[in-house]
Amino acid sequence: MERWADFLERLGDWNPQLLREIRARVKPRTLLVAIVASVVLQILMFAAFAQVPLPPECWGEGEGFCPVTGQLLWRVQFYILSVLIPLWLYVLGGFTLVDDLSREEFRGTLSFIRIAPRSSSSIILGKILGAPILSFLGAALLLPYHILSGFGARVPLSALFSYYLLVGAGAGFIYCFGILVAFFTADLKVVPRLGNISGVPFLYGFFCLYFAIIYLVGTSLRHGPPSGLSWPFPP
Amino acid sequence: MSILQTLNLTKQFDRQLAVNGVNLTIEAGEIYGLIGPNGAGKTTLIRMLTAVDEPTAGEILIHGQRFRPGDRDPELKRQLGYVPDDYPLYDELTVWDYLDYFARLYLLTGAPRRQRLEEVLSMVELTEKRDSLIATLSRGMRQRLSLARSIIHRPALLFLDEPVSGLDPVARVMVRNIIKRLQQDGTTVLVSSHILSDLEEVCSSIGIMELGRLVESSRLQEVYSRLAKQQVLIGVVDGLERLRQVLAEHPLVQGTELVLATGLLRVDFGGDAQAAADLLRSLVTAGLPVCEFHQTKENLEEIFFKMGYQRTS
Repeated sequence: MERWADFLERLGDWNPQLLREIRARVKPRTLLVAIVASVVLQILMFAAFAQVPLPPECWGEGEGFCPVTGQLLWRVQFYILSVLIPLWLYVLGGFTLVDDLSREEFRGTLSFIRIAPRSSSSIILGKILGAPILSFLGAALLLPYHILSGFGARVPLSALFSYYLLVGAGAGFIYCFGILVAFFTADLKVVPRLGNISGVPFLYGFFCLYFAIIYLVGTSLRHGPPSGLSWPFPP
Repeated sequence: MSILQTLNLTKQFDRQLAVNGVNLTIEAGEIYGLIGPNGAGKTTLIRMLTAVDEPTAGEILIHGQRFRPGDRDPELKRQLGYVPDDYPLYDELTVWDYLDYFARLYLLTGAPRRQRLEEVLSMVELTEKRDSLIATLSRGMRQRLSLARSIIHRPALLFLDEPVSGLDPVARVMVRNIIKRLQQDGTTVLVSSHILSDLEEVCSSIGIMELGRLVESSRLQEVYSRLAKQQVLIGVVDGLERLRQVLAEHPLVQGTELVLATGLLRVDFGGDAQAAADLLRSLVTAGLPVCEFHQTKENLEEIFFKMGYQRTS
C-alpha cells in the first residue's frame, strides 16, 4: 500500500493530470465494474467454447477425420478476442476521452488548466493515458486469454506482437483525433456525443482502423502472406 | 509601482464590443474593486487579464512584462490566480485531491506542497472537509474551495469575479476576511462584485465599468472626496414634519430622505463640519427634540448609481 502511494506521488509529480484522472476514476465501484465486465465476458466465451464436443483425437491439429479441431477452436477464440480488444479500447476509451474533455470545456474547468504553468502537451498526455484508464484495465484483463488462444492457434509470436503494436498505435490515433473533435465541438458550444454531426469523421476514422485490424488478423490466421489485399474504404 | 497595466484593451464578440479600450493600472499590494452593471464587461475584462480569453486589441503588462494567452512563461503564469464567477469544480474528487492536483499543476512538490495545502485549507476553514467529496459541499464551501485553489501557489495578483454572489452573510464575511488577509500577505487583488458594501470595506481603489468602458478608476478616498455628497443623519424624538420644514428653509440643505430602517432623516448637506455644527445649533434653538446627529457621506452604492448605473439605464 505504501509502495502504491509512493508510486502515485511520483506519478503525480511527473504528470498531475494523469494522477487526477486516476483519482477521479479508479474507485472501488468503477474498478469492480471494469474487472467484472472483462472477466464475465471471458468466462462466458470460454464456457461457450468448452461446450463444443471434441473427440480426444481432434485435440491439437487433429488426426484422422476431424471437422473441428482444438487448434481451430483456439483460432476462433483468438479471432473474436482480436476483434473485441480494439473495440473495447477504441469505442469505450475514445468515448470516455471525448466526453471527458468536452465536459471540462463545457463547465469551464479547462480554463484553469490553460492558465497553469504546465505545458499543454503534458496535460493532453495525462488525459489520453488517464481518462480511458478503466477501458485500458478491461482490455488488459483480456490479454492473458488472448495470448493463450494465440498460442493455442499457433499464431507466430511476431504476429501477436505486431497486432499489439497496431492496436496501440490505433488507440493513439483515435484518442488524438478524439481530442481534436472534443475541442472543435466545444468551440461550437455543444456537448459532443458520438451521435452528433461532429462525431462522423471520428466514427469514419475509427471504422477504417478497426476493420483494417480485423482484416489483418483474419489474413494472418490463414497461414502465409495475405493475397489480394485490397483496401475496402475510400480513398 | 504598478503590478498590472492594460493599454487600450479591447474585446469584440462578433458585432458586440464587450470591452472597449480599457486603460487600467493597479498598484502592487492594493485591493482593486471593479463594479458595474451586468453586461458592463467586467467578466470579459477579467478573463482577458487572466489570459483565459484573447484580447482583440491592446496589451496587458504584468510587472511591465507583456502577457498574452498561450504565454509559455511559467513564471508569469505562476503570478496569477483566478476565481471565475461560476467557480467550476471537479465534483468527483475530494477536497484534498482537488487542491493537491492544482498544487502539482503549479509545480509545488513534496513536503512544501502538503504544508501549503494544510495552510490554505485552514485559511478557508475547510480542514475538517479535507476528505469529503466536493459534490457534498455547500455553495459557500465550494466558493471557499475555489478561492483556496486560486491561492495555492501564492500568486502575486489574484482575480476574483463575483466571489460573494449567492453567499449568505456569514460566508460573505468569511470571504471578505480572507481577501483582507491575502492583502496583508502582499497579494494584489482585483475583485468584481455587485455587493458594493463589501467592496467599500475591503477595497483601496475602485473602477467603474459601463458598456465596456472604464469610466472611473481611482483610489476610493479620492472617489469619495470628489463624488460623494456630504450628508447628515438626524433623529428627533418627535416632530419629524417640523424638522423637515426647518431643514427646507436652510440654505445648505439640498434634499432629505427618511431612512425607514432607523427612523433617521438623511439630509444632503452642502456644508463642512462647522456648517454642520451650526445646523445642529439652529435645530436645537428652534426647539426640536434632536436625539441623534451624525455627519456622514454618500456610500459607494449611491456613487455607483450616480456614475455608472444611471448612465447605462
